[in-house]
Amino acid sequence: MEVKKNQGTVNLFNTRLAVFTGKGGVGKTSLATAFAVAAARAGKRVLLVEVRSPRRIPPLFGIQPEDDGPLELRPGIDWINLVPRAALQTYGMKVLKLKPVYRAVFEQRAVRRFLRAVPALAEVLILGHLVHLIEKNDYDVTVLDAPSTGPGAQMLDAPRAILERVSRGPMHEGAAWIQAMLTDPAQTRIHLVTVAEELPVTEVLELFHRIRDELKLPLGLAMVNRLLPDLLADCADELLTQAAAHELGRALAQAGELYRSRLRLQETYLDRLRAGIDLPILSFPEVVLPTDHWAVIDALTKALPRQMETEA
Amino acid sequence: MRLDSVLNESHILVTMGPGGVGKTTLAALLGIEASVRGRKTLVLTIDPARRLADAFGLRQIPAGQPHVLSIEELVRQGVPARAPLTIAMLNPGKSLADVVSREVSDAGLRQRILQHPFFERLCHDLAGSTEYAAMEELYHLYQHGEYDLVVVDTPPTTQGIDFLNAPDRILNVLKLDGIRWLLRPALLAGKIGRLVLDFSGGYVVRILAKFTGKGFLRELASFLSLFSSQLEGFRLRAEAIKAVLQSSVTAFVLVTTPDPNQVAEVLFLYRRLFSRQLDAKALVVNRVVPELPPLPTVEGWQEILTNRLRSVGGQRDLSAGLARLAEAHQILTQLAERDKKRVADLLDRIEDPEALLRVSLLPEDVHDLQGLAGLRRQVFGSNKEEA
Repeated sequence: MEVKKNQGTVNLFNTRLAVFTGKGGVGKTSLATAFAVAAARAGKRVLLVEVRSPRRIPPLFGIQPEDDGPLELRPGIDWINLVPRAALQTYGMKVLKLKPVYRAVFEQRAVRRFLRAVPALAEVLILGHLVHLIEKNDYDVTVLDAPSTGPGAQMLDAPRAILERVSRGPMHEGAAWIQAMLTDPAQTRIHLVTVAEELPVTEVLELFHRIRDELKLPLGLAMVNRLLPDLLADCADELLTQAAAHELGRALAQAGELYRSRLRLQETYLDRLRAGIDLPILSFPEVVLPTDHWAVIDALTKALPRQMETEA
Repeated sequence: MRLDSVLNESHILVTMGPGGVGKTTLAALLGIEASVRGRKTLVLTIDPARRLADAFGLRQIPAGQPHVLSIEELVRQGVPARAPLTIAMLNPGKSLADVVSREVSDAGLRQRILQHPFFERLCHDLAGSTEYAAMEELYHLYQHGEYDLVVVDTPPTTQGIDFLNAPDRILNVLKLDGIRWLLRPALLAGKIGRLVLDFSGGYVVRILAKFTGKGFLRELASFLSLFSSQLEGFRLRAEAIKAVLQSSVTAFVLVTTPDPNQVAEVLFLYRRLFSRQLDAKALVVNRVVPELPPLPTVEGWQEILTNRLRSVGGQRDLSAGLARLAEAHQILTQLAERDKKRVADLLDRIEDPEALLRVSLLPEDVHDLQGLAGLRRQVFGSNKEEA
């Protein structure tokens, strides 16, 4: 695994666990999916994971899932949606080792409700389920479409919180086992996704510092999604004014004004990102296509290896 | 537009939606519009990020301390306000401590509850505690009657925890009838004054402790025994809060962008509100790329334009510049068409088409009062002229 800061090679697909996080609505799911598809095209066996999600990924492959998986989306790509209940069954069983006891206790509604409110517990169960799947099935790459910034960081911080609270026993060992994987840069990389807008960039910078300095987990790449092509960098004000004054140029001028403003904002926030983040930055274009689904993933997938070459 | 009646008549307005759709700006905008309509308004944000302060161009608002924008200040910044506007950021710890202070009459018990280590957890760590604090705060503000309208900007609704089920979630943890039997040894110990959890008795407790840690259970058990006399009061108030949210006093405004994932999330919320007999009065689609006038259809317009413009200004590389403008026009037009289709799809899936409000993507970000004033004119100004 080699991600060197600001230089050197980026071998994206050699991490066992690739975590994607960032502000909601920036295209984490699309980029995580594109990453998984690109990894599969590079010959890897991939597990693509959503967390407590309304099952967004399978429809991108034209599949309407009946449950939370696991499910094969394409040869080489399996999918699962991790939810606390299944995680409790799978990972809870592993921790407790006693089925009848588990049943007696956890089938109680009151207990389930109670456990839902215990801080960091659901997150650790989900991560435990995930690590269990990775180890059991021997995937080359597991791509985790993690929750957005705040909850995402909370999830990544959960094993530490449990280790702090539960000083020994199986839960402690389980959390330590998860933590060992999460903190190992040879196994795990956390990729930050954003768009070049104010709040997503602010949040991703906060997240960057939190993950690097507080959680101390290995970061991978920063990915900037939905960039407008830089068409009007040298477009003079005068050209717009003149075009606006002419009937044939009015639509052009109107488009130019809006496009240029958005472009300037984009540049401002890209600068802010570059100045504040110490990771290789990959860019992905705004994909304007008639369909919302596969075509977008395909375009992003194609943009991925291209950029890996330019980074290398 | 449904938002008109919401702004004129509701006393509580809750904005909900996925993250990154501009909810906070929308909440600020609705607050401003209400103050223009002469209603004394408070905008309360739950979000720990300082977005509300950012939206108003304020450095920051200290948590729990309201900041008042006077009529004069609002007018000076281009908002024709007729009532002051207060903005506040929720401080969950303070709100919950206030509730305890108001509700627990026994001074000694009050102190013991507030100083208990589990109370700290209740305020900060427990899933849904912030939302619960917000609801209590909201209810208090409503009952107090100081404001004509309280706008609440909720955090993004993911993770299965949302504003609406937060009180249930928190009260379920505290609810004795749910888990009393589980923690019976601990509670008995509590009664005789020794707040020690007996791990030798009850395999259930032992198993739970494996998941939560002994310390957590011990803290919880001791807090429960302290709090048990108060639970009924809290439960009754949670019921009262629900009743207010279900009444015509409250309106929910859902916010999304045209992005299909966010639309899916907002539709999920829309149905969920509906199933709880809560009223999604308005659905705002934010950041819709506006439709541009089409390019000229006249044959050879590029050349005509190039010649005309050249004669006016004498630009170098004029035709290349115009070609790039045409490309920008094409991209924006495609984006506008995509958004138009997405909004139409959304319209097909809601009961009341009147509930939908489109807000265009702006050339600039909104982060001061003047920006909000401009947005207000775009959204409400023209609408009033039509009416």
